[in-house]
Amino acid sequence: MTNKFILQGQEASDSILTMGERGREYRPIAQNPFCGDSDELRRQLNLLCALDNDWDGYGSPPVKFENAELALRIVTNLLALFENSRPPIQALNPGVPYFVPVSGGALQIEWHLPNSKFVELFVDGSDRCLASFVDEVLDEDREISIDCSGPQIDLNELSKWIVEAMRSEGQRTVAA
Amino acid sequence: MPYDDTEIVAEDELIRGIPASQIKNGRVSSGAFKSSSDPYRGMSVDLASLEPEQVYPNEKHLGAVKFVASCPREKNLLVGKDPIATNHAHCNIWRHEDGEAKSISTSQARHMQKSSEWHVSIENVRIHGDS
Repeated sequence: MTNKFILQGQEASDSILTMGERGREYRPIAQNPFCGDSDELRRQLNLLCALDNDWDGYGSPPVKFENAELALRIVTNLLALFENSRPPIQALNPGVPYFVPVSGGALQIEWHLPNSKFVELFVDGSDRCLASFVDEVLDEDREISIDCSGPQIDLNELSKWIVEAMRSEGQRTVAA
Repeated sequence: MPYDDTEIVAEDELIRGIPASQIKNGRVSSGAFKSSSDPYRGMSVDLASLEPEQVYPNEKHLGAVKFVASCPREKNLLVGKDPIATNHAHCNIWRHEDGEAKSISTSQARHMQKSSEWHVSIENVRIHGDS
């Protein structure tokens, strides 16, 4: 059986049903040819979709396939923004984030950035994802919701947060 | 249905188990303090005073954190008993605004995370930045 997925308006490569880590069948998320880190992203997300029921001890199902697929779309689009930018911005590419399963089938995307700054996205199947920027040193946080219902996702604010955090590390290093 | 249980007093301790998958980079993820995707978007905890059956660590949890009931309430969250067949001490924390269940915000999740202490600690893992 072959499933086809559409990413960024283009057809991504096929994927087939495979066996999960514990022998259970699950759908792997789509191959994405636009991101050099896609193998690692898919590996991590597939593991979350293959979690056992009640993985959290509170009766949660594994991460929903749809949430993992949206997470892949967001992360690959965001990393592509950096890769397609001018060299000074390219150098601020935050790399592959952490993916954290959240009770109920949701997941959180987390970039742990320099100087105790965090950019997080909460993906729970809603049309809007909650994105947050946390500065633990200044004890500040900002939160916005991002419309993920259409084919285009506006990740500009998110990328600005990452650039801000990564640049602050550069400034700190120069100052030192 | 979300409600705030007046029998749960401010000093009552709430316990949340931490599975391995919610530990990243040597710290507990704020995802451990977020809403579930159930219709009422509750966050499951155990009420310590009801002596939960759950012991830590266990098959699902490497350890557990705890915080007092006043902590989520300070951020306008509701705390109520919600016993289930396997756990009579089960409670939920809800965000219910304008008659609608909402996801716990980053600010609310961080407040619970920052206010947490170890109930049963996990070696080489921090709950938040300076713990």
